[in-house]
Amino acid sequence: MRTEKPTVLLVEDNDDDYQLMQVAFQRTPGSLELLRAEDGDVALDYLAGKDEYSDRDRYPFPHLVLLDIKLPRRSGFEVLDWIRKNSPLRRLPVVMFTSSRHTVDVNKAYELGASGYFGKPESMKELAILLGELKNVWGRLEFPTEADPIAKTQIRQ
Amino acid sequence: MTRPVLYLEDTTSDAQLAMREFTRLGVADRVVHLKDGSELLNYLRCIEHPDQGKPNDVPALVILDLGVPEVHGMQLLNILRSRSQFRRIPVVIFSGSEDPKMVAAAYEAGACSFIWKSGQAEQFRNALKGIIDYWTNLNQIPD
Repeated sequence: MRTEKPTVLLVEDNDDDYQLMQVAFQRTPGSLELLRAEDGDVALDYLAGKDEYSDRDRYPFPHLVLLDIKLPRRSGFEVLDWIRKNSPLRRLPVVMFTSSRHTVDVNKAYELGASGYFGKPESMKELAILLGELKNVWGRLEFPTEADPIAKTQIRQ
Repeated sequence: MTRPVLYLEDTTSDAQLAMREFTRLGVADRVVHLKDGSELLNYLRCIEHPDQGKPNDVPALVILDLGVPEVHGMQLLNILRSRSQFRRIPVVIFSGSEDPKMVAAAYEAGACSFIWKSGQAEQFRNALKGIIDYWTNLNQIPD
């Protein structure tokens, strides 16, 4: 069982949304740290430990991924599909965090193996409530461990 | 949310504590308490074959203890994830196990989350409250 402070990888291309999340994380009591990948390709590189992301002291493997759907270059669904098809990463919890509340998108996310689905709140207050619940639930969770070093080299891109 | 929440728990004292908490949270009328794996499989069968008995609603959430009798929780999880009608249903493991291999296996098999079930009543209740608040009030569920 991992015992270090749980970290959340937010896959978000919108700088404003990221900054709001940073503020919300700081204001919300709890013990989750926020990391960021700016688009789907960066998310894959980060999770695969590719290039600079192989430095896990600087870029720790996340305990939880918050994943937007609308991303440049590679959509959130593609990222989720890739995660679930890469055996060493299959166990990583991935929660969709998106402005879409369409049933089609919700269903598709769970079909691909999402661990949860949130519509992005429209106010800081709602975001703080959401994060409080995230920290309440995911902060008490048991997290699976990262892929072992051998398995990491087998991650397909 | 109007669809049922399936709560799989074989330990009587845990189930009683949980049902009191569900009542306090105002969701007890939606919770279906199942005591072992066979009861869950029967429930699912009544969804798949509505002509063979009282049809059941597809649950909005399954809260699953792993160490239930008849059919182990991991096998139940695999069954849920292997059937197209159920694979989208969020499944939360609520277990007293602290075995990291069990945690990894549960996520690998498609559990949405794994929450440790404390033996302390207050922590037990808080964990259930967190599950219900998160999954029924905040989270979008599939149809």
